[in-house]
Amino acid sequence: MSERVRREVRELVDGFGPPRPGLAARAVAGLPDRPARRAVPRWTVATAAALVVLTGLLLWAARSLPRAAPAEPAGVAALEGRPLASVPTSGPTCQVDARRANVVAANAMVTLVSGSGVPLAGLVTVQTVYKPEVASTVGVTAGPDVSGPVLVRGHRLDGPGTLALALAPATPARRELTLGAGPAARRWDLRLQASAPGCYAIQFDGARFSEQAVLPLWPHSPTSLQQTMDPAQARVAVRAAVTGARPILLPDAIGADWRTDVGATADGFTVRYTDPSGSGRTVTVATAVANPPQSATRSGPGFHGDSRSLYVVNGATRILLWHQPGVYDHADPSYPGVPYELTATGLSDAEFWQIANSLA
Amino acid sequence: MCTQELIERSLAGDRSAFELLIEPLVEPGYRLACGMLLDRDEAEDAVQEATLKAWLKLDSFRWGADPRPWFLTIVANHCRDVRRSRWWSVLRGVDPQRAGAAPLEDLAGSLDLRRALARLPVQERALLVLHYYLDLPLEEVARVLGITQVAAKSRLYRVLRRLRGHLDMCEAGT
Repeated sequence: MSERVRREVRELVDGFGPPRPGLAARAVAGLPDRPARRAVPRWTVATAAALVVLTGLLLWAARSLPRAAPAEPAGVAALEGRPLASVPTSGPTCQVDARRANVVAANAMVTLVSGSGVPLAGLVTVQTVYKPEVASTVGVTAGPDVSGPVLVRGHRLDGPGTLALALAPATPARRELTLGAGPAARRWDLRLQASAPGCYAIQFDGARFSEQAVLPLWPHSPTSLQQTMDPAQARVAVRAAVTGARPILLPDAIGADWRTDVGATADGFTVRYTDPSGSGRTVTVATAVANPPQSATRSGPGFHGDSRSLYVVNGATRILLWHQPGVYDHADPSYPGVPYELTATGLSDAEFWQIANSLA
Repeated sequence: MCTQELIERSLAGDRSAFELLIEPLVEPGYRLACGMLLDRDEAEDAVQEATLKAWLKLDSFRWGADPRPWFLTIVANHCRDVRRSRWWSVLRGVDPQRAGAAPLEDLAGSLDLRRALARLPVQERALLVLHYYLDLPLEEVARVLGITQVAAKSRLYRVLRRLRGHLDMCEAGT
């Protein structure tokens, strides 16, 4: 029996595949600074402890020693001396200068462009994968020519407001972050927290470049609903919780026994369905703006009458992005409607479209 | 460079030393997280989160100890937290580029047992992954899970008995 369990455990775990290459490097790349500290050998600790026991005076003296200052990456001070650039915007919709790429609702990988309008491919790219109504996470990729510290700061362009940044998912938010770019560190997820709704610029300062990305942000709304339930209950609960978006679309063609995890605020929601068999099949419906990977297969299905809708197949993952005609408190006037995302893993094409076509 | 040197340098803030320290632990941590969370993306997130915690908690690393159970403990604790508050992930966008899924093939034949495994409480699944996948002795499994070796042994026995009972029921039903 135990051999069979061993085999099944191995197959269950192996079924998820190996970690993506560079996981360790990515994990280490996002680490905050540690205070500089010299490790003390064990015998020194023991000796010091003995001395402390013998002389209270030494204890007092040791506690009075100044603490080591936090390590400061070289060159950051110089980057901090640069001013935050004022990015020209036009109108109230957070549209940036036509020469620049607006990272909002572009449905494509955005490459930041230089002040002169010449694309600097390979410096820093920003991928929007954020949900404005619950929090904003942007993926930042440094190109192969970028090395050393990259200072990231942000500010509001169209009124008073501050922007705090954190390395997603768990570091404390700060007014500025330093990313250490190098061969092993090219990709970070940044969580953005705006103090007031508006148009914000994120500025990236490296040794040889300074670039800005512009995007609209809203303050984080407290999650009003966070629960696991069944699909029918989810439909009722989401409609009750979300008041800032209509229509609320959820799939009918989901098994009644699928685990349904719901998260919602007044402004939006995410519902994730998981196949109870443990096969790894999941379906997620969310009000979200996202742009899919460049390497994926794309097509424009004209879903629900949206000519800019996008269907992406990336390995076992299928993604459908579209804006649903309706009312959305945070609608982008240049691309009206409620931004929706349907993502499924482990489903066939036919199964995916059966679910997509059952959204109601 | 030996483990203790890597830890010393990491304590001094050297990220490259910490990366060398953590790199061989990432795959076991990822496998444990996959077994506990049953989701590849969440498992990778858990490993990244555990790496951050390991970096911040490096001061508490016991001198001369093996870093593997220490890191796996952090992964396991984080996975338990994720399971308790599953919807932490609502607070971030779905990143399509990182989305992935387990292959669906090769499920036939063992589906009943696989389902039973997937339905086990997360702590029991962690025990099975640590012992049967990562081949950790029960003493180390117990350390990772924060229980005694006797408790780990009896828990393993109970899980195997339950799985056997489940299989018997399935076979009787077919």
